[in-house]
Amino acid sequence: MNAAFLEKSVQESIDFQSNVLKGIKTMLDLPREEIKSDLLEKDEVFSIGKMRLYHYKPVKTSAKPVKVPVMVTYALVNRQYMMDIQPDRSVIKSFLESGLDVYIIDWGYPTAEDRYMTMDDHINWYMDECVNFISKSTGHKKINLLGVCQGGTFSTIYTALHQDKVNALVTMVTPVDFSPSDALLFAWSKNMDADAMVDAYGVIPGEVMNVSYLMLKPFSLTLGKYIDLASDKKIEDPEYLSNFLRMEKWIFDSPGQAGATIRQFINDLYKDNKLMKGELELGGKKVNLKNITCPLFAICAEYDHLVPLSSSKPLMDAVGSSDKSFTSFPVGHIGMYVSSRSQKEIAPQIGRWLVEKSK
Amino acid sequence: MSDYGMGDLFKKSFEIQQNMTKAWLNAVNPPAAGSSGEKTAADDPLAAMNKMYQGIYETWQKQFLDNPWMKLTPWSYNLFNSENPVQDMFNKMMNSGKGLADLSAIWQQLVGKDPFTTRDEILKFIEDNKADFERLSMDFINPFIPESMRPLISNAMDLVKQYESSGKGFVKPWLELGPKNAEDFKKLAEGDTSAYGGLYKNLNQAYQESFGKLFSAAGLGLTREQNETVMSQFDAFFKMIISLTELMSLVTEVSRENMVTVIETYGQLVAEGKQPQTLKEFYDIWVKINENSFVKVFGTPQFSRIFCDFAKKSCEFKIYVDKVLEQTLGWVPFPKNSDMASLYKTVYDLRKSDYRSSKELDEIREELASLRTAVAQLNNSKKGDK
Repeated sequence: MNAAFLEKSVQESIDFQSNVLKGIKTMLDLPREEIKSDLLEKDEVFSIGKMRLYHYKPVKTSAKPVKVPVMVTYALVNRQYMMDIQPDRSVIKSFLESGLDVYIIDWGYPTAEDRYMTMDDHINWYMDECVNFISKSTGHKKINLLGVCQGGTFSTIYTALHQDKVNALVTMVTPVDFSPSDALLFAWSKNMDADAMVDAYGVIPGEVMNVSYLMLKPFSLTLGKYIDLASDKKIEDPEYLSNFLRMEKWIFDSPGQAGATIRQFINDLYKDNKLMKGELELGGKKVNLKNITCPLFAICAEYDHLVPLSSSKPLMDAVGSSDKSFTSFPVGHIGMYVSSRSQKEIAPQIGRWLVEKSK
Repeated sequence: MSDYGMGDLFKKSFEIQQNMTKAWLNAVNPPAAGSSGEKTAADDPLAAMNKMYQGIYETWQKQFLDNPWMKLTPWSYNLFNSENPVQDMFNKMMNSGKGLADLSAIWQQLVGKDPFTTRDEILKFIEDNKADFERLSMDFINPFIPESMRPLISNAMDLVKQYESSGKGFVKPWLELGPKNAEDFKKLAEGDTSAYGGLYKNLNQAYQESFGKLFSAAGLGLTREQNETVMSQFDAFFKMIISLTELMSLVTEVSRENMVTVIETYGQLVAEGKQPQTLKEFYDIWVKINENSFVKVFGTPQFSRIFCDFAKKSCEFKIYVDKVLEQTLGWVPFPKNSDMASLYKTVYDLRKSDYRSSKELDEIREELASLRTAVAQLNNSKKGDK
């Protein structure tokens, strides 16, 4: 046994332990308020069941106020405060600084009583009532919709069914064509027995969803992330650590999934691809994407391991809109909101587009 | 916030470790003539240190995380209060540190030695250090498994070992079901673990045709229904275990192949004089090879089928467990899951009905308002005519 190697190995181990302990000390000193997200001021203006509609208060900005409001719809599978994760990484703040009048849906945390909530309920009831409320309170017959991931799928379906209420549609990392199998979730969903899961759980626990997300990058998201953190001198930096903890909190803050909704989402969309085929039915009506005629802006992430480009881009050819734009950025699914590029390029570009379409 | 002397305590711990290392370096001696040849801490200080670090992480988990008293002390509030993400994150860091310590145990076996020249040598090395590799595999797998399922997983792993060690006594009845099983078992006996996939598929089929029928059989008597549900629960349990074992064997096989690749890569780097100088560098190689490999395997139809089959069997087992519980507790005067599900359905239907009625009322009000406006305009125009 080489003595130099032995000493070096022991020192490396001690350095690792020392770093972990420095991290503990920093964490012990972090007040809870430091780890909070969703800090932009907003008012709860409407609610049904556990769903809350919030209206963000305007921020100080030199931009001219945009009158046509925008309603942001996030996915059911995660929490919407990702878009306002921290003050210097807030897509919502960037929208407000563009002069936009922003509303956001908070789906809440489903419990056992919500197991029978369907996609029709989420879209034609909750979303529609929110749109009606915003229209009535702002006096605008049509509003802008911005949908994120599954929320984008919902917004797309809503627009196809209620085009008369939508001024413009923005979709971010939104799956519409579920036929590709080049992303793991898409590949697994083809074989997943959603009926068995829903019959067993009613409302599928968030922890179950988390396992499948962790498996998308099995080493990076389990061991790797924490080893890298513990090996980094930045672990002593309270700001760095609080940013890390905020992301951690969001990643594992997965709501349960209402059984009837996820059953239909997996069976009708992931397995049968009914949306692209024009066979999806909600509330007794067929969803025809050609009915979407408003301006459309679709944004995708080029390194998206959850929603591949091959799933998002087909929306462009499926809609009836003549005014439509597609763009992609070299970021991942989450990087779309938290990367520095999202603050400098993505959010401002969306803001400018919405301002232009709201004139 | 004061660290209540923790900083001093751990500083002393580091000094002790460094002093111990120096003492070992000064005292290293080969084993005495006539001794058992078993390595002592002096012979293999790094292995001894590694065992100590592995012990530290395991002790931490047992004595601190599971200890309710730790939640009461003020300085530990941030660390041990489960409502605080700090506690969860710290737990994950410690678990990852354990994984790193276990990887270190393997790396130390490679350092300073000539690289392996053949695949057989690598396979023998893996076999000789089987316990370390299994520990490392579990470090990786554990984060995915809910706490309550971990005993189930270790039971399934034990079952795999039983298949290997109980040999003819267990396999004999299944061998009689067809030559296919004998061929797979023969491959296994020769060390060809790729036969696991086929073996478990055939075992599943053999189970269905034998014990599966027993558990699915119709019952007799007054408690027929309860007995049938209990038997169905057993049936679902065994099907889940078989499916889980197939999943675990696939993961284990991939892990093993990845380790062969890691060791081959390490050997190439040694030959080029570019071998990793630190554990972190070795870890970076190990994690990159494993991540790329597992993501590729996870995307295969085979994995998708096995994984989704396990998910389905787990859910079916849960359904029967819930049914058995409900039947057992049928006499207690509080509502059960099925009662609540029925109630929730009623509430949901009522909410929908209320919503539809509200919409209809709104539409009627709008029509009434339009009618009133029309009537008022008509009256005004009539007055105007007069």
